[in-house]
Amino acid sequence: MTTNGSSEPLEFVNGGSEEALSSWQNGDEGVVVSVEEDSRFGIRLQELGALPDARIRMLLSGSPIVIQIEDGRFCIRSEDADKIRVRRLPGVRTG
Amino acid sequence: MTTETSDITPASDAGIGSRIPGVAFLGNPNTGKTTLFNALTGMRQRVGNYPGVTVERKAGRLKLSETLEAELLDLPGLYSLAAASPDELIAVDVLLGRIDGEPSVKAAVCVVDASNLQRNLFLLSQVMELGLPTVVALNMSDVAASRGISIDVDHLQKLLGVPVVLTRANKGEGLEDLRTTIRNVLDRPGTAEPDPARLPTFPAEFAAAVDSLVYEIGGGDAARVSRTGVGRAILDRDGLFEKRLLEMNRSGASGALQSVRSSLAQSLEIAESDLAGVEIRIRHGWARGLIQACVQRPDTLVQTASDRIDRWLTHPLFGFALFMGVMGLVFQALYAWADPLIGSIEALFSLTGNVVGAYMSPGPLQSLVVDGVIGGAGSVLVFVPQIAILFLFLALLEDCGYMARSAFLMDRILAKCGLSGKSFIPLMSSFACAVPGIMATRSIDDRRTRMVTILIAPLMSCSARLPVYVIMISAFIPQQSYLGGLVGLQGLVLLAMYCVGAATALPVAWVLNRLLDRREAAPFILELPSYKIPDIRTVLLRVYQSCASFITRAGSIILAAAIVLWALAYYPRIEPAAMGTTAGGAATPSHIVASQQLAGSYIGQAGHFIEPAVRPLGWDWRIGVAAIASFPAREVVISTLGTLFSLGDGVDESSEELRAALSKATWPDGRPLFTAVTALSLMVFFALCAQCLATLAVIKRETGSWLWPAVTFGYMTTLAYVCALLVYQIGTRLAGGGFL
Repeated sequence: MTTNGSSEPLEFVNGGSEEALSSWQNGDEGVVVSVEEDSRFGIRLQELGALPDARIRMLLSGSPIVIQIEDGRFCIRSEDADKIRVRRLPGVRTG
Repeated sequence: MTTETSDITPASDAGIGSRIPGVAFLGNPNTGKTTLFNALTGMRQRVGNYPGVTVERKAGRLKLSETLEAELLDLPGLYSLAAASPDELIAVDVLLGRIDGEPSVKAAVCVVDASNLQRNLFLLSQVMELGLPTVVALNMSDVAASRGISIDVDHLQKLLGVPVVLTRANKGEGLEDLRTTIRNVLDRPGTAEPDPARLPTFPAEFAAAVDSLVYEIGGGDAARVSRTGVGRAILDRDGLFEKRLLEMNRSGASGALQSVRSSLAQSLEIAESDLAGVEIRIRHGWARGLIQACVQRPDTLVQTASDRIDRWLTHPLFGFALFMGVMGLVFQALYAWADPLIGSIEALFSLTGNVVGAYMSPGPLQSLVVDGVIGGAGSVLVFVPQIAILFLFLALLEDCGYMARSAFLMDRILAKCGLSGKSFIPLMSSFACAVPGIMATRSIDDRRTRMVTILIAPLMSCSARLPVYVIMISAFIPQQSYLGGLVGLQGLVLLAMYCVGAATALPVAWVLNRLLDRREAAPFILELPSYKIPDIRTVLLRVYQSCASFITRAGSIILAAAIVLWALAYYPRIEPAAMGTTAGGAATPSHIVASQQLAGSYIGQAGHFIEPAVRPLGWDWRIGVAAIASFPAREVVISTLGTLFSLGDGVDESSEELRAALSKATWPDGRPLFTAVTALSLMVFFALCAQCLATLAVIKRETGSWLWPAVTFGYMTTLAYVCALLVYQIGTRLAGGGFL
């Protein structure tokens, strides 16, 4: 697990704490913290825009899952969802 | 691919010299690229394969003025030049001018989805770095507007430094602008060349690393991979460019690559695994800068109409039920709509055969023309209705965006045996006919998944097996029923035959998945595009191109083999005089002549030769002949049995005479030849065997190699033989013990 080269500790002023995307329910929304880079999946997802602070939403949890990253909707497998670390934004949980 | 010189497909030699400039047409998937391409080139397209690979090549002529034409090359949709799949690698190779026989690319048109600017600009930055004159076609601005995104196009054009043309492919808007812009770019070399100062800025260490690797491996080898390729090899660990570099320069490249990578990582003070990440962040940072300068958009994630539709269409219960309904409709259409068309094609060819035959004197030439050429051409064209109907549905579902949802719904089940959701449609189509099913695997981007899907598709019980099942069941399976007539034994056996293939396919897929090379596995990331109204031109062109490519590519192989098989059944000729013994000197009836001719032909001799091998299946040499003669197509077994049992070849599966003749057939010692167990053994054999030339030809066409049809034929024939053997041996023992 790399943290995208950023060395500052994961402390955020208002937001929730960092968690795996796979723990999210339908409608949960927040931002990407990091994506595991040491895999083709991680590289491709970052190319698609899953960079730190990109907005992300769980559209359909389960397996496979559907997520929204910025303006794109993607279906990925739940084991890959473990490779995405996310953080909820305050007060945005709608699920 | 770079070393391929001899194998130039017919499609790629049409560039006719270098005078017609090539224009690469590329972009992310789901940007409306194909719709735009079709609108620009219309019917002036050719579809083929790139030499030696399974990637589809599509090119079209674009008329720019009275005197100037361009060859527009529709590249596979791609997210990044860091090629993750063979499709993407081909796109990069075309852009770099690395494919022999391709017109040299003078300009690139990058189709950009206005509603997904961030990641589309990511690809654009990579394309512009190649230095080709670049035109941006900013498409789908209506979708962007509906999401509250507004783009200052003039400002974007100024910041990019290359022409930006606003297009709306679905409405045909912006086509003339795009055409004029392409013409201007080609007319005046030097315009629209990207200015490096406007591109993402990388640390100087990147270029230095490329320089030092080029120096290490030598200028010649480096030139063959190109500077862009060397750069990609450094950044993408285990990527396709690294593989290519190592294949080319085994001795030194591996060590040189390692040391260049580690010193680059050291000088940037990052982990080696983070090199690709640095590139990605720099490009996305550049894209974000452009978006901040030119785009106004809502701050929060937008819920679109597509999202609301998806709540229903991807729903675990409702979505699944609807999906089954859609599939049922497709399946029904493949059976019901195609049937009358197939019937009329067959009737037309049999009529043509009779008419032509009547004008020719009997003999080898007449038989060759009527049975070999006309019969063979007919056996190619009977597939066209099912291919056309299947691709009509596939193109509609694909173009409206539903295909991605169906892959999502089926992925959970298919992933368990190493397939993916994208395998479902090809496999389901194969229940009608494996030929269009295998052609439909093109939408699977992972090479291994696609191979496994192609190899197991012929196991699905196609419509050509039905005649075999029908005659065997109606003649030899007793009409018993259970549960007060609700369930019949005959129906159960038919259902079992359909299940045998599918049930065998899953473990076969599991095994193949472990045997095939897994290094090039593409990650499973499936984009769910916004729903839209399908573009009729795109749909119809797809249907037309699928039919045309089947007829020209697979059709020629099928026709050639049909003629060879005709010759094997026609020669050596047996003089009618030599047959006198059977009919006691009286004029021998023609069906007896035909029966004896077939028995004495090369195929008949082969049947006698293999009799020891098929005896344990409960078959005599006649069934062996019928099995061999059905190599072109399974349903041929019926007419061959008809000929062999002296009924003439005009029988079909509903023929009472054939049923009676089969029931009366005996072994030389007087035992009945066919029992329920023999019938089951024959049915299981036909459920699992690869007796279909069209399927093998289309596998060759889709994989570009004879290896895969050979593998398919080998494993399916082995499977069919072993299972038929088990059925017969176990069946006769159970019957002997009084269980049946």
